[in-house]
Amino acid sequence: MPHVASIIPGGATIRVGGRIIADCLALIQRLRDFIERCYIPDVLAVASAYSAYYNIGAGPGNYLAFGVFHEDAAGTTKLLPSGVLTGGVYSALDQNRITEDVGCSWFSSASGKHPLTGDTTPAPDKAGAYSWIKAPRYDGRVMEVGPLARVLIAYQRGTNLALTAQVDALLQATGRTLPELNSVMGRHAARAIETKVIADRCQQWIEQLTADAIAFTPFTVPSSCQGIGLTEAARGALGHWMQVSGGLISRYQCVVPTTWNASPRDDRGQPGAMEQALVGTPVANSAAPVETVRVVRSFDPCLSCAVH
Amino acid sequence: MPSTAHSDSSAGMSRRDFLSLAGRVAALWGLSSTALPSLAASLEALSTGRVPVLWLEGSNCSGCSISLLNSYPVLPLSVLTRHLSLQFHQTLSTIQGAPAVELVDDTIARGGYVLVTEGAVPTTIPSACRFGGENFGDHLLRAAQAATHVVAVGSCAAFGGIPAAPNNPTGAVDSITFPQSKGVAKPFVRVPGCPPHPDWMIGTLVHLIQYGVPPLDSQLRPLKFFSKTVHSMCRCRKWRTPALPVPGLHGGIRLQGPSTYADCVSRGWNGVATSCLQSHAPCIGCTSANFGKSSFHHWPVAQ
Repeated sequence: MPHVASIIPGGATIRVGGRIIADCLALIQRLRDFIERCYIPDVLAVASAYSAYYNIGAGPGNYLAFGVFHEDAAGTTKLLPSGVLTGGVYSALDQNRITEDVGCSWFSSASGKHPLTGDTTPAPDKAGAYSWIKAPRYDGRVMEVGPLARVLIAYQRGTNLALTAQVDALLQATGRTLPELNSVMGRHAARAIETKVIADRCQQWIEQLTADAIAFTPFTVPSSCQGIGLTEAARGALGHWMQVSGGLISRYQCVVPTTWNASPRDDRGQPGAMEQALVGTPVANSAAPVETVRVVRSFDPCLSCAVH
Repeated sequence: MPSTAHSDSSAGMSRRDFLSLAGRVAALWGLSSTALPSLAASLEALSTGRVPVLWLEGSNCSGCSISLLNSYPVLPLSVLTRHLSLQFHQTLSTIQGAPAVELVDDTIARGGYVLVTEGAVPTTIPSACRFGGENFGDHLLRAAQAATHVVAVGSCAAFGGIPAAPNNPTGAVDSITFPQSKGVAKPFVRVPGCPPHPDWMIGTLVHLIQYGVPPLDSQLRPLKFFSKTVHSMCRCRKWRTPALPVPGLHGGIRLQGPSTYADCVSRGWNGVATSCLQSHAPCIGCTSANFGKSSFHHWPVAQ
C-alpha cells in the first residue's frame, strides 16, 4: 500500500477483528515457513560457498542500536535492545552524544551539531566535499548500525535467549568466532538471525491480540513542543528530532541508518563504516570489482534515505 | 495465494527452451549484450514482439519499483521476462559500475525502447541526482530523445511529487514537463501514485506495447485507472448513516477523496481487497498533481 496512512500518532486507525487476526496468523506462518525452508538455508549455502567473506568487509567495530519492539508499555525492555558497543564494551545509549559533521558533505550548515539544533542547507559547489550524506558520529566515534549491530548488542546484553542460542549455533556450525561476524558474511548471518527471532516473536504477539480491541489513543499535537523518536528500521538505528512552534514544524532533522553506515569522512578525517569496510577488499578484476559491491551490499544500503 | 515460481532445470531441455531460459535470466540480470554476444543474438531472435524497456530513476525513493515487485497475480518475474524486455533497472539489475553505464548508453544508442522514468528531475541543483557521473536531467534528455514513448511512473516523475514539495530545495520538476520544456516531443504518459498500484504500471506498459498509447485524461493519465474519484467508491459515503454533511469532511479532517482520481479502492492492494479507506485511513490524494505540495490532510492541533 502507499504511505501507511493507517498508522498515525496515537496508534492504528483500524480496529482489530477476528478475521484480521486469523489473516495475520496465516501470513506470519507462511513467512516463518519461508524463513526456515528458504531464507536461512540459502544464507548458510552462500556462507559456506563464500566463506572468505567472513574475513572481508570489517567495519569500525563500533555498534549502535536505539532498540525496537517494546515488550512493556514503557519501552524499558525491548525485543532488540538499545545500546552502544565500542571495542566490545557495552554502554547504555545516550542520544545526546550524537552529532553530524558536514566537512566532506555538500552542506553549508554548521558542522558537529546535535540533530535538535542542526540544519540542512545544500551547497553543491563546496570545496572538499564529496557526498550528499552527512557524517553522524557518537561521542565523535564512527558507528555501524543495522542487523549486525542489533544482534551483537543483544548478544552482549544477553536478554534474548532465542537470539543468543541462534548466534551460538551459527558460530558452532561454521566454526567462526564472534569477531569474525564483523564482516560481509557476518552481516548477512545477523540479518537472517534477527529475521527469525522477530518473526517467531511476531507470531506470539499476534496470538496475544484480542478481537475488537482498540489500537488508538487520541492524541493532539501541542502547538509548541519538541519531540524525539528513536527506533530501528530494517537497515538500522533511525532517529527523528522535531520542534513544533505555533502548530507548525519549525525544525526537523533525521539521522537514518544508511546515513551512519554510508557516511563520508568526518571533520577529523575518520572514514565512515562502509568506507572502512571497503579498505583491504581483494579485487580480482579492477574493471569489474564485484567484491567491492558485495561489501557495500552487505550493509543493505538505501542512499535515498541516507541523504533524505 | 502466489506460489514461488521455479524455473525448470531438467536435463534434455530443447535448445529453444535453453535459449529462452538463458534469455530470461540475462534479461533479469541486465547483463550487457557486449559481454554475451551470442546470447544477445539469440535473445534478439527470440524476442520478436518484445519491446525493450529502459527504466531510469531520478530523485526518488524506488518505492514505485518496490510496488512493481508486489504485482499479483501477474508476478513480477513473468512481467519482466515475458511481457517486457527490461534492458536495465538501477535497483533490479545486478550489473554494476562502468558496465552498467555502458549498457545504458548502448541502449540509448540503439533506441527503439519505451523509457520509464521514476522520480523527479532536480533543476536548480542539477547535481542533486546523478547517474554515472552525469546529471540526471542531461541523462534523461538523452534517453527521452531516443525513446519511442516516455512513461512517468509515480507522482514524483508524473508531477514532481515529494522532491517538489515546498520549498523545493533542488528545483525538482516532473520528468514529463522537463523534456517537454527542452523541446522533446514524444508520446508521454503519466502513471501517478505514491506508489502507483502495480496493475497501473504493468497494465499501462503492456497496453502501450500491444495496442499503443491508451486513452488518457487531460493530465495524460490512463482513463482506465484514473477516471473515477476515490470519493465515489468510499464505503463511508455509501453506507454511513447519517451521511456525511459535507463531502470530504470527516471528523473535522479535510479529506482528499473527492478530488483524487484513482481506482485503488475497488482494485485493492497486494492481491486482497484492502485499501487506505478500508483501513479507516483517509485518502491522501497520492495520484493528484498537487500531491506533496499541500498537507496530506489536516489534523486537530491544540491552539
